[in-house]
Amino acid sequence: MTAIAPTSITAPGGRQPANADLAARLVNASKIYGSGDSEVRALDDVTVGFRSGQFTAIMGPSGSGKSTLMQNAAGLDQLTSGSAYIGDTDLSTLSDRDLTLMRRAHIGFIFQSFNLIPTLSAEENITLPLALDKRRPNPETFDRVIDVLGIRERLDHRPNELSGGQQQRVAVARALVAEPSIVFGDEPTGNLDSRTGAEILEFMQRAVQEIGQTIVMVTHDPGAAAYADRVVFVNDGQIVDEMLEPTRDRVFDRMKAFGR
Amino acid sequence: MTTATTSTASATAPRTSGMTRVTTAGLWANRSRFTLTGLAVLLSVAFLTAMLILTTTISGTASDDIREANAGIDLVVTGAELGESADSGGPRGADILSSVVPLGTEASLTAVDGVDDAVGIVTGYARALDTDGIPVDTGVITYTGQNWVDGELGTHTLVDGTAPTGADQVVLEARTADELDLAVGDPVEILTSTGTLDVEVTGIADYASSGSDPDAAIVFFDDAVAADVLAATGLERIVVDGTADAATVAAAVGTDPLGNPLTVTTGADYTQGLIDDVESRTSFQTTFLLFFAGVALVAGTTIIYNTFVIAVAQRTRELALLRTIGASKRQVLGSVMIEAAVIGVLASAVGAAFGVVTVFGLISLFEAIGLSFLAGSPVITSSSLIAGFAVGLVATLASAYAPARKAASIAPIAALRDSVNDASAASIVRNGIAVALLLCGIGLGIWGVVAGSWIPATAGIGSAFVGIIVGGPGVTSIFSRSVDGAIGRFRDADSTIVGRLARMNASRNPKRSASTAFALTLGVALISFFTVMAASLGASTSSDVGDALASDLVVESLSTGPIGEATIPGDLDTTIAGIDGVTSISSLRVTTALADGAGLVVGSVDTDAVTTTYDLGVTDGSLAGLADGQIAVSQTYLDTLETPLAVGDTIELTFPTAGIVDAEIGAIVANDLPGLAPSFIFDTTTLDGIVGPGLDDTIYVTTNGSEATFAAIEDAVSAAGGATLFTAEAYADSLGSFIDTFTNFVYAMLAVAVVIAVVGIANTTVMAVNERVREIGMLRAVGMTSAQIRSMIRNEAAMLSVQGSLVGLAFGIAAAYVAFSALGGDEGIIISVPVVTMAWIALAGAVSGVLAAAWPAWKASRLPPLEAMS
Repeated sequence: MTAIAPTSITAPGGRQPANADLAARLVNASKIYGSGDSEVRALDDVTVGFRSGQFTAIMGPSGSGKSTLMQNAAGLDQLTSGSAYIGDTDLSTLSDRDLTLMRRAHIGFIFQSFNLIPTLSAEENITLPLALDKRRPNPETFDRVIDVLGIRERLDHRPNELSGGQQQRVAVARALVAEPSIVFGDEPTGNLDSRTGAEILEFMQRAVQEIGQTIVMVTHDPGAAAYADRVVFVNDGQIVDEMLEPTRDRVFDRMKAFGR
Repeated sequence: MTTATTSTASATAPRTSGMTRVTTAGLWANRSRFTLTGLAVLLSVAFLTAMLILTTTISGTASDDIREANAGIDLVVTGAELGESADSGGPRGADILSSVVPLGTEASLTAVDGVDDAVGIVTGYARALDTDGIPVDTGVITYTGQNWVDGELGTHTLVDGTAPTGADQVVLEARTADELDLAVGDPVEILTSTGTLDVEVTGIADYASSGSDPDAAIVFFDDAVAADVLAATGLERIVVDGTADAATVAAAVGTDPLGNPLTVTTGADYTQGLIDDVESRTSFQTTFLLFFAGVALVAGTTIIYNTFVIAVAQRTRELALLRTIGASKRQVLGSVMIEAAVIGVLASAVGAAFGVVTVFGLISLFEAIGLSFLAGSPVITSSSLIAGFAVGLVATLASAYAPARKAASIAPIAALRDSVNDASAASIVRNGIAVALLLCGIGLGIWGVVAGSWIPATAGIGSAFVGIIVGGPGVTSIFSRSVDGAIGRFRDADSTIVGRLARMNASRNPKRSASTAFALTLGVALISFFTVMAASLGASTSSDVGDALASDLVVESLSTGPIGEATIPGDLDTTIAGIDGVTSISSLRVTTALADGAGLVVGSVDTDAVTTTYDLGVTDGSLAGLADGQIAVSQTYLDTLETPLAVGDTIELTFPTAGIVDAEIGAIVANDLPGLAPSFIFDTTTLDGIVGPGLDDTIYVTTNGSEATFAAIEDAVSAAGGATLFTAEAYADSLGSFIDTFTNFVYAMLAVAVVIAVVGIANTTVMAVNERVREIGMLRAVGMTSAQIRSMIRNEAAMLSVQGSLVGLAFGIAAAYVAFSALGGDEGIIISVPVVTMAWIALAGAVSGVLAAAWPAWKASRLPPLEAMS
């Protein structure tokens, strides 16, 4: 895959980015917790877009607002002001039900702590988002995803019969099998050892490269960020920098700069 | 355990205050969970306290009052004891039937040395009527008339007005006067065995500190006229004041009309006898009430236990962390027990106070369903409140103790582990024991049914019940799996994913689910048991009577008290007989007598006419030609005799007032009249000749069926008062009405346990939701709608409630079948399972779970998907 041109971002005054090819975007997004002296601006007038078929990592120090950014882009939380779009849909205009249906149909999630349902088998966990919609998975997609992830042998197992890495592969499969337009990951390798984490990241990378999946991942690990096509750096609720074709060392150096 | 907590608190004061802060902070943080637990405790304690107040009201103060009222009596002369009475039909509901003291015997005592005063007491039927002619109901067991006795020997003291003089004056007890809203100087109508009297109230009297004798509502007449007015043929007793000893008095008074020596007892023994009678009678009622309080308490205790088990499990890491940073086992134990104590104290205190409100609610409820044994105002004592509070607190602490011990045994290392869900269904051993107990129960039950023996039957029911408790978790797993399997067979798994999640969740922690469902199982099992019992009794009674009744109308006494009393004025049958269109009439009059030392109810009918109104099924002899001195008896009685009797043989009957009568068997009948089983039936003229005239118990009327005739009879009945008119059909049904009243009472009592069980389901569901906040957040994130979340939680609770009610229903029906087959086989009880009612009970049980889950489901559906990230 060739290098992807950076989407225009962080323009002062919040110039709206072109929405062509953007799977998700935030426009003039602010998220404020508390009020008065205890007011915290977790997001401060952020405008950012995530291009289809691109693997984006969001990085920043603790408390920078990177998780808030992702949660609001994914429609898990409500912005204080500004808009979040999935495709051309303004999430703030949706009812709770429509927002849920939007997540079900168009968004996949990979959580840090796997978050599988312990009472369901691996296969049932994978098809859960579709089952909630009374749909069945596209057999081709299903087969491809589980074969790439190498979990075909484990489909009948319950999560507690799987290792952490296997559980996270099931979680990745769950995020991918409904063929969402975008997948959000919240520190997806945070609970895994580095080798298993690397495997998961490779799967995510392959999903982007081979089937053109859009992925946005929050991470604090420069090594994880190096798998992405693009890294967005967040600090104090604002996007302060971005990096294309990142490497572990460059990301590491950039992160160190926040310390100063 | 409380002492342990206290000593820990004092021994390590500085650190304990830290632990206390942890505890109180934990309580506050988990207030929603503890609110429901507190509610369960509160409901149990309120109900228990109410029951304690009721039992005190029924029996508590009676003994003090009896002692006070009879304090001035030194000796009592009564008739000879003749034998046990039938259906507590003796004077004042006593179990012993005695003869009478001849009228005037007290005069023989006035000259005896050491006797200062001796007064004969005559009693007879007398009951005040309200302005509509309806007999007053003050919730006592009998209504009597008596001569007024002044001074030390009297049981009552005037609180207003004067003693009665002449035949047209009475003194009423305060409770009767209150009930009828009567004051001194008011006119009142009194129903007696000789008819109704129009009299004036000249005084109001109190029995000791309460407004009425605990057994009887007494109407007092002038001593000079009482024997006449009450048609008394003897004295019920003579009360003696003085220092004379019993032997001297016994020698002076002579014998009863039957020639037996009279009984002389000391005042103290006589008083104790009265107290024993009251206690033995009320102990059944109080035991029954306390049984239901116990059921509610067990249901409540299950929930407290469950809450603490879950709370400890959920806080494993937190508690382990406390252990890691240096909290001792005792401190952890103490912190859980302090939580329990805080909940126990608060909920029990509010519960005890709420119990007072509950009592008034229950009394109105009892009145609404036609139970009058609790008429009068409740006696609220501090001991009832304290006992309710104490039991609630102790039950809370006791049920929290095992979970607290478990909390204390959490290893510090657990702080480093992910909290482990106790998903173990139950060990094979546990399930094995459960199956063994169940099989043992079924085996014993079959033995009991086949052999008609209650010992194996009861043991079988007990064994199966323990089996259900032990096997609860196993049942939960099997139940969830089979429901899931059954649904999976019919519907595509993907289309029922929400239901499937719910079913899996219900069996996620089988022990927890089982103990939650148990409270409901208990309530539903008892409801089912009593429903089958009531239906069986009802079916048995109504079918017999319905078959034998030949008249088209029945006039019945207003027996509002617990013991049926004849209240139909003696001349009503003559009035009805004179109405145009009445083709046949026969009236039943009853009295008590003894044969072979056993009490019986003896009745009389117009034997020439009775066959046209009630088919007694004559198998030998002739009822129509029953002569003076002849009696008709039922075959069921003859079957109980060792030496068989036949038509022409004689039966010796002893009447307490009239003495021994040799009755010749003139007819043998197969059917019994309601309230007169087995039958001992004289012709009316014969019995009137023996015991004198009385009130009618029942009048059977056959008419030409015209509406005018019915209307005329209706008018006559309402004008006479003391009677109710039924059509034949309604009458047969009404015989089962006491069963309906009883069933309603039982339902009301068990409803409390069911409500507590439902609170328990809500509680478990709330805790399950709290435990799975992140998981629910994830489900929301991946696309479960709020409605789907609500449906999932409701389904989950429904799994618990359906399981609880089905197991309860099955067990209740089986237990009732076994019990009544074993016990009632001889009595010809038809076991009847009312399918529709049972279906309603099952449905209500199942729906209760959905209702219980409404709030937790709503709460869960409001959880933001962001929770998945935390």
